[in-house]
Amino acid sequence: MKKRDNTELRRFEKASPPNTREASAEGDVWASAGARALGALASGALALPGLALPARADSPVQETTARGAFSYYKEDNLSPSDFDNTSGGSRERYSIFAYQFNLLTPLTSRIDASFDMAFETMSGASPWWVVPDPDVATTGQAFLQVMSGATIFDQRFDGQITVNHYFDRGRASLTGGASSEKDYLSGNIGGSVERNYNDRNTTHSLGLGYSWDTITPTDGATNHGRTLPEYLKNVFTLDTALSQVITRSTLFEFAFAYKRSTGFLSDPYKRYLVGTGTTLPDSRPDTRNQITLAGRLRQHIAPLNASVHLDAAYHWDDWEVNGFSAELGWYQTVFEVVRIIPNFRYYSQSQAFFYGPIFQSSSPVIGTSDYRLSPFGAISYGLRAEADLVDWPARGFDWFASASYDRYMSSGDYALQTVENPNPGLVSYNLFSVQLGGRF
Amino acid sequence: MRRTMIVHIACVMTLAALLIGASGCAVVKPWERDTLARKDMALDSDPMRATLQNHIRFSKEASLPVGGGGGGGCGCN
Repeated sequence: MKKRDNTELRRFEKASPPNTREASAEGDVWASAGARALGALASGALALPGLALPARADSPVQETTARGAFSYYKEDNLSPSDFDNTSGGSRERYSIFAYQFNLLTPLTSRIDASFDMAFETMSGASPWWVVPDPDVATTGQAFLQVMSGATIFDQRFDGQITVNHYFDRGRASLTGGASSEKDYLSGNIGGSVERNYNDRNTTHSLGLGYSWDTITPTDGATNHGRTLPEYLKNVFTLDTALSQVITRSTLFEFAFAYKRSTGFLSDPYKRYLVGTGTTLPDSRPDTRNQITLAGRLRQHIAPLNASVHLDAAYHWDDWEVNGFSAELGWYQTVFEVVRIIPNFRYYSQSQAFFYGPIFQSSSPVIGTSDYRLSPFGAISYGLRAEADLVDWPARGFDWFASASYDRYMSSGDYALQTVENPNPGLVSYNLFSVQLGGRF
Repeated sequence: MRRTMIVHIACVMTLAALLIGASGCAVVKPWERDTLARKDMALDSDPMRATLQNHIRFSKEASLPVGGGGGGGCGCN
C-alpha cells in the first residue's frame, strides 16, 4: 500500500497543476491522476483515415514518448472441404508481418505532434470466386471456393502526421498521411475539434476527413477484366462523439460515424460465376453511404481492482449491409503495474444486396461473390498482458510493454440470421502482438 | 427477416438506453477523478493496438468500424 502511495506521489511530481496542464488521452501511468481523467474523457474522436487521431486532453504532452509494435497475422488455410481443387490455386491463405511505430512529442507549450508509421509484408493466396459443389448430394457442401496461387506478395507502407493545438477548453487537430502498396496509393487529410463543458464532465468532438485512392491492378489483373491503367476512389468521413462522466468510476461515450465512398469500389482481383458457366469481374455500385452508431462504457470495480469495458456498435448502409458488434473486456490490475486483459467480441452482418454467391442471370449489372459481403457472424477472443515501469532503471525513464494473442473465427452459423449457404471463403485467423514503449 | 428486424430494433434500443443513462449523471469534480484517470479506464487504452484491429476489421468485415479503417490501404484479399 505504501508503495502505491509513493507511485502516486511520483506521478503528481511529474505533472503540472491539473487545472492548467492536462495529460495525454492515452491515460499513461506517468501522467497525473487528475490530468488523466480528462485524457480518458477526451479520446472520443475517431481515427478514420484523414481524420485526426484519437483526441487528446487539454494540453500537449510534456515529454517525448516512443512506441514500437510487431504483429504476426496468420489466416487459417482453406479447409479441403471448401476448396475447389479442380481449378488449381492454393489453400494457403494470407500471412502478414506488421511493424508499427509511434512518436509523440511536444512542440510548444500549446502544440504537440504525433508521427505514426506502419510497414506490412503480405503473402499467400486470395479467394477469387465461388462455384457449386458437384458432389453436394454427398458432401452437403453447396459451394466451393476458387483460390489464386500462393504467389501473391505485397508490402504496405503507411505514414501519418497529426498536429494538435490546445486551448483552455478544447483542442484542434490537423492530420495528413499516405498509404502505399504495389497496386494501391492512398492519400488523406483531415481535421477535428473538441471542446469540454459542464466542469469538464462532458466532451464533444467533431471530425472531418477526406481521402483519395488510386488503384493500379497488377498480378494478372487483365485476366479479371481490369483493362484500364488505374481506377479512382474518394472517401469522405464525418465523425462526432459525446463523452460523459457518469460517476466517479463510470464513463460513457456515444459516437456517430458517417462515410461516403465514391468511384471504383470493386475488388479488382475477384470474379463471380453467372448462369452461363462463365465468370464476370467483381462489380459493385460506385457509391456507398455507411453509418455507424456506437456506445462505449467504462466501469471501475474497486473491490476487485479491475475495470470493465463494454463496446457496442450498430452499422447500416445503402448496400443493405446491417452489422452489429459487441465487445467485452476485463482489465484486471495485479501488482499495481501489470494488467491482465481477457476480451471477447461478437459480430454479425447481413449480405449486400448484390451478393451472389453465384448468379442465375447470364449478365447481371452488378454482382460479387466476396465473402466479406456475404452474411456471416464472427466470434473472437484474446488475452493481453501489459506492464508499466516508472522511473526504471533511473528517474526519468518510464517503460511500457505488452504482449497479446487474439483468435478470430467467422461462420454462417454464428450469424444472427439464418444462413443457409455460407460463403466457403469465410476467414479465421490468429494474431500475435508485442509492443514496447518508453517516455524520456 | 422478421427475426433480423427484431434483433436490429433491440440493438438500437440498447444503444438508446445507454445514451439516456448517460444523461442522468452528476457533476464529478476534478479532484474526484482519480479512478477515471486510471489507464484501465481510458476509452482507448492502447491506440496502436486499436489502429491494427480496426485495419483488420476494415479488411475482413463489411461494417464501418468505430475508429475507421485505421489508415489507408486496399484491404483487398
